[in-house]
Amino acid sequence: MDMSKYKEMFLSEAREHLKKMGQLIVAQEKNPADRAGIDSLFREAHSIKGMAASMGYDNTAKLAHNLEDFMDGFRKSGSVPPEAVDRLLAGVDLLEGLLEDVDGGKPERDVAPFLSGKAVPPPSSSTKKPEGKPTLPAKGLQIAIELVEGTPVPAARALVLLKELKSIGTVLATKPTVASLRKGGDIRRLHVLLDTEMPQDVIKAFKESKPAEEPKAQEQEPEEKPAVRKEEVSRTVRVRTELLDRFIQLTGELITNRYQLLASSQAENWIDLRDGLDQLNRLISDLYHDVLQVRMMPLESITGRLPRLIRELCRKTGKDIALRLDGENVELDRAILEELADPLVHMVRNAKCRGPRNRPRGRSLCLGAS
Amino acid sequence: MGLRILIVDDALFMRNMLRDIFNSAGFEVVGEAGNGKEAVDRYRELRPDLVTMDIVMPLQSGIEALQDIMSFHPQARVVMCSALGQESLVVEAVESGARDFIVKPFKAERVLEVVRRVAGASA
Repeated sequence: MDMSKYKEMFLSEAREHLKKMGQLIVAQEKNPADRAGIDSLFREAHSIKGMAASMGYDNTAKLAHNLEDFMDGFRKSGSVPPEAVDRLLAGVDLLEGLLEDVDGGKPERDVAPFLSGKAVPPPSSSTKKPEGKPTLPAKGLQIAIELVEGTPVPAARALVLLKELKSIGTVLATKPTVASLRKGGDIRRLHVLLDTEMPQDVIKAFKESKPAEEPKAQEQEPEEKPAVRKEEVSRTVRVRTELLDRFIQLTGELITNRYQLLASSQAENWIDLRDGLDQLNRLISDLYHDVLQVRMMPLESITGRLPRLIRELCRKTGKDIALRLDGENVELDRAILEELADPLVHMVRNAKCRGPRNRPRGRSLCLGAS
Repeated sequence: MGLRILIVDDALFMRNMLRDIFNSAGFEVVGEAGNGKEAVDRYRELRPDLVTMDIVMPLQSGIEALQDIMSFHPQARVVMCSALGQESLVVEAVESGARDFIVKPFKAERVLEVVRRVAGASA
């Protein structure tokens, strides 16, 4: 399957997830036991993992997986400790770097130093039990199923197989037992005793319909990917569907209008022609207005990084300042937003650095748009 | 085979990819949902022949959505989509009535194989 056509979509969606993660992490630091925040962070990392793995960006997927596991640990403990916040932010930064690599068509940077870093709670549930000889009563049809090495989620695969066997007979016994399959774990062999009325050849056909092999995660071949120029990537925009509906509706009206104009000019009906032209005038200005809307983006798209910036500055200067953002939903032309992004960062930085030193606590920085 | 499929995944990227895979095989994607709650609503409304259901999603997880759907339509054919490292959730899904599952990263052939098999199996 040609994956290159998904690359831009992947990058744009992954970046949105990362932006969200950055905001969530900073919010979590202020409210470490916020369960919903922990869950959201887990989901964001999880989404990136799934997307990156599908694209074959192994390092990105590995890192996202690591962060996901990391968050999963806090789901159990119920709170994110302060030292974990730094690691999470570092992880988000590294993910951003990886996306840049992908964007530039370069090989992904190394994530091993990060992964081997401190405090990665290992997933605990890989208990392997030695399997003895299966002892099943000698009645009915004995079926031995061997799962191919590397089959993902073998216990669930075994349960699916059992379910299908149940559709052709009664399962008298299994080894391992269904109860132990439910607990998961690394199952290689499944023995089933099946009481069935089905003729042998049907069972044979049934067996042959089973998949021979499940794909493994590492199977994707590295592909030569053409480097995409940066400006091409940033040229993709998301458009609200109702706006697209408007375009379709307006285009439809323009087509009707064209027939009206043609008909009235052929009939030399000047009144109808003038009406038609008036309508054309209105349709074109509507269309122009709507097209401009495509370029509009919420202010939020450039303020997203500010909470993180404030946090870092607070640490550096030892001040404690809260950031308040108002009117983040206000929409502006993307060109204006792009121009505003840097000055905004400078303003925030200056406001912080130059603020009075004698009142280190309880100040807030407000940023509003209307 | 005019199989009608509902795709449930919170990532637009994943939905588009699955849609392409299904379209290339001549299946009809009748709808998409971005979370579990929406999945249940869309299922009620569209009654698709088959659902591909992501597990980890906002608002309502894929497993909760699966359980909801099975409660009012026990014959529903739901194939779970999971990422590596979600063993217990996949087991829970199968126990809750999922017909089969696929593990990300997806391969087109594998997805189609599972979907064809589940669709071919008697309800």
